[in-house]
Amino acid sequence: MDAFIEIAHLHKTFETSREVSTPALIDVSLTIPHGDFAVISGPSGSGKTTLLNLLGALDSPSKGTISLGQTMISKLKEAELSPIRRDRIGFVFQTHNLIPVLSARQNICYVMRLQGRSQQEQESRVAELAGKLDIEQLLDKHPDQLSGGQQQRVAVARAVASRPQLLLADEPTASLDSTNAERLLDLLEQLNHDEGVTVLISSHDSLVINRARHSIVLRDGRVVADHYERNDIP
Amino acid sequence: MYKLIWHMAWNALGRRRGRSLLVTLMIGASLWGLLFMEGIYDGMTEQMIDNTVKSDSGNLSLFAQGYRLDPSLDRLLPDSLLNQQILRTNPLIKSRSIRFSHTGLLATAHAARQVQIQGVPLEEEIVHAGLSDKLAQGRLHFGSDGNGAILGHGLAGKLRVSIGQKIILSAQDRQQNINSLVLKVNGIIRSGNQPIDDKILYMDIEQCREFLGVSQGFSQLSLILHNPDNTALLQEQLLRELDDSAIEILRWDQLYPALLQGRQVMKTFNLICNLLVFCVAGLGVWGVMTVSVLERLREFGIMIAVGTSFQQIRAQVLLESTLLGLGGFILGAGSGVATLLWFVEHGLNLEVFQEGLQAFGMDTIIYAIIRPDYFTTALIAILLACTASVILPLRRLKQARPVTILNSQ
Amino acid sequence: MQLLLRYSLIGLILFSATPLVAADAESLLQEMEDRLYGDTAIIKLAMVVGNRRGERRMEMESYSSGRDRNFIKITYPAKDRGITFLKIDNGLWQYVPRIEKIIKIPAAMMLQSWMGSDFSNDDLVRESLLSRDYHSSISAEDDETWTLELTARAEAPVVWGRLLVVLSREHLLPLRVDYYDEENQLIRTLEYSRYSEMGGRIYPARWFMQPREAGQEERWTRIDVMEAAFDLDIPEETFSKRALKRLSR
Ligand SMILES: Nc1ncnc2c1ncn2[C@@H]1O[C@H](COP(=O)(O)OP(=O)(O)OP(=O)(O)O)[C@@H](O)[C@H]1O
Ligand SMILES: [Mg+2]
Repeated sequence: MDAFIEIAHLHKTFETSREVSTPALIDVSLTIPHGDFAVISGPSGSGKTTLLNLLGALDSPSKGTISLGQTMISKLKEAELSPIRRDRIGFVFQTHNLIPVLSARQNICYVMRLQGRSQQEQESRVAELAGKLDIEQLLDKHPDQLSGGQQQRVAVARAVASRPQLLLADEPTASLDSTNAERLLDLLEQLNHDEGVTVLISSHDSLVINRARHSIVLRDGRVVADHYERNDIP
Repeated sequence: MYKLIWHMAWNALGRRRGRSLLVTLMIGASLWGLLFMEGIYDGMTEQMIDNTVKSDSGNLSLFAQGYRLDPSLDRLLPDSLLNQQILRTNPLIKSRSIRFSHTGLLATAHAARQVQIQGVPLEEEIVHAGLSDKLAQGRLHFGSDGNGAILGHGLAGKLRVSIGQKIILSAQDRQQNINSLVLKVNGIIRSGNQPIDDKILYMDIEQCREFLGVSQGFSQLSLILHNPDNTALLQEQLLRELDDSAIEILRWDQLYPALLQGRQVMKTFNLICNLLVFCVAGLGVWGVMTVSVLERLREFGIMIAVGTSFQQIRAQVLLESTLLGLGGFILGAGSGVATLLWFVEHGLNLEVFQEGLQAFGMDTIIYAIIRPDYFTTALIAILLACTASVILPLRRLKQARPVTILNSQ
Repeated sequence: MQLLLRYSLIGLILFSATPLVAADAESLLQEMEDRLYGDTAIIKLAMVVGNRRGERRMEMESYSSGRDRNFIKITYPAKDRGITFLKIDNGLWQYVPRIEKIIKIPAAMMLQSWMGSDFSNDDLVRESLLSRDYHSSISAEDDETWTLELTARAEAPVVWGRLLVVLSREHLLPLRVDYYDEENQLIRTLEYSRYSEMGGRIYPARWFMQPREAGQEERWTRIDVMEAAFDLDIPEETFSKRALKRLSR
């Protein structure tokens, strides 16, 4: 198995106040291979979001290490993290994913612009993704003119536009009805398949969990299950 | 990359158009006020100085040694002084006028006032002091018999005399006798220099000497230069060439240190005004930027999550505040220039405050001045204010972890 | 000689009490001034200055010789006692005992009020040389009075444009003088009254000065002559600057 993400003995404790500290993740160790399509599930408060944030380098662990490819991201400083977020990770949040002052197209191009990609490259990528995600009609609208499902589709396009190796999605279907949720999942699967992007989704939605190739279950901050579906071992 | 930052900043401002416009207007308005005040006050100060230079001190004035401490009729400059080469053909000198001064009493049936008798050669004084511009009533003429007088308009008002009326001038002559003389009011001038307007009586210098029992000499030689910057230079030349044990040679700012101080006070005042604009701009932009940064935390969080560096965000926020400041500056400077240009041309008519202004030795019509440094100082003040105003919001952004920013609402 | 002539002329007019001979304004004026000031005069007088807020009384002794020389000493109130004034020709000096200084009153102060009254320093110095500074004519007359109209001579350095002098036929002394400015506006009135025998002659014991200009009507100055002696010999040195200090005590 070709490990892409290596999580070893990861702890995350929130110091809520002087006396109270909440252990959100306790001794989590996981391996995610390249091209994986993993779903992290578990009851509310089990630490799913905390784990994704740590993987996305948006937060730093209390103990333990995270490696992304050859990079030990848990050891990097903030200034060193932004190029990693920019070039290697794509993020889809539960809601409010988009930058409100930019149009859908500009949102999708944003990371490519940060990377300094050419205008032409941007345009062709937008066209390609818009076709796949069926958002051609939405490109010139601003986020506040889009429905929740449309916003999430644009958010997925934004997240994968820069061709990241890893796509993190935190409860991407939570604000969607089942039809839209299915469509979004189809898209993620398609991108996983077409572009080889490693997908990591957190959810307690059975709709999502059923699609998992690699299923990880958290409870009270601990990994209680970590297995591959039959036939799907990469 | 810069294009992206520019794009983000511009969009952010555009999204809060009303607020951006308001703070721009606020900065613009206060800058306009600042420029207006600077221009008018500087105009006032320079006019005061100009009035004094013309009607009294010149750029340089010569007196007999000791005259200023004890202005007696025995301390006079000799007529022969005027024939000195250095005074006659000096290329620095634009005009000169001699004055024979003495105190006296001017009376009508209604009132009597102490006056400064100024015996002058009228033709020279008209050119030198620019009297033609200052004539308020009557004409600049001492009459065929030399018994005409020209009064300061404050003095004329206090004595309630008008053109053509008889006035009685009394003064102690050189032999200590009190002499009296009938004069006729031929002209009334408004010089804008209050001591002059309230005290001065111009009369023919020959008549004046005769009245005071003096056969020759004068008390003051006032010199005006082509270029006032050469004043100190000419003073040096004169000090070298003339016998300074007998002659005092003084610059206008030595004669009227208060005026120079006035100029300094104005500079300080302008600086304080700039500081005020700095504060107004700073507070305005600070308020707007703090609110707009705080309400965009989620937005910045997303930007950070997808890989935007803090430097980029800082540049964007700074650019936003600078654009606001620059907008205000352009608005204020534009309207300020337009306003000042109008007042440079037409003057600000403050006749309503006539009394008060003249008490300070100012004219009732004030012509503004425009100096480039008004704008540079204000621009620097505004830019500084804009930079300073985003320090705090940016610090909040920098100190928080990305996830905190992302999750704050 | 001329003086004699004029005297007899006036005598004639007076004693005959019949104005058959047309009186000559110039001589009347001259005679009036002579009678008012004498060759020499020693007068004790009180000057009362009044205004809205009350009045203030001063007493003084005045020694004069002709119209050129005058010495005045304040005797009351105590705080001003000993202040002396000397007027010679066109100069006016003042001695202030409190500071032991003789001050020459400069021209610039000549028209300031004298001791806070409605008389100016100048009134003291150039005290009525009416006959010198004015053209005069008789403008009206009745059984008791002549009214002389005086107009300022062109070159005369006087502030008044015109004076009206009402002269008593009986005493050849003034009853009232009206002072007009050049615009013929009445500025002040000086009234002479309480004629009585003093120093061997009939003399007005009360002089009342009333400003007439708008806003000034509430002020007035009254001179009450308490004692007078005329044509006595006054020692020359009274009119010297040394006397200012010496006679102050
Ligand atoms: N910033 C924080 N400060 C303190 N405690 C936190 C913070 N974020 C999360 N927690 C706590 O950590 C634990 C894990 O939270 P987390 O958000 O990861 O759960 P989750 O599995 O995503 O839940 P949900 O399904 O409701 O989204 C919870 O007990 C939560 O209260
Ligand atoms: Mg969660």
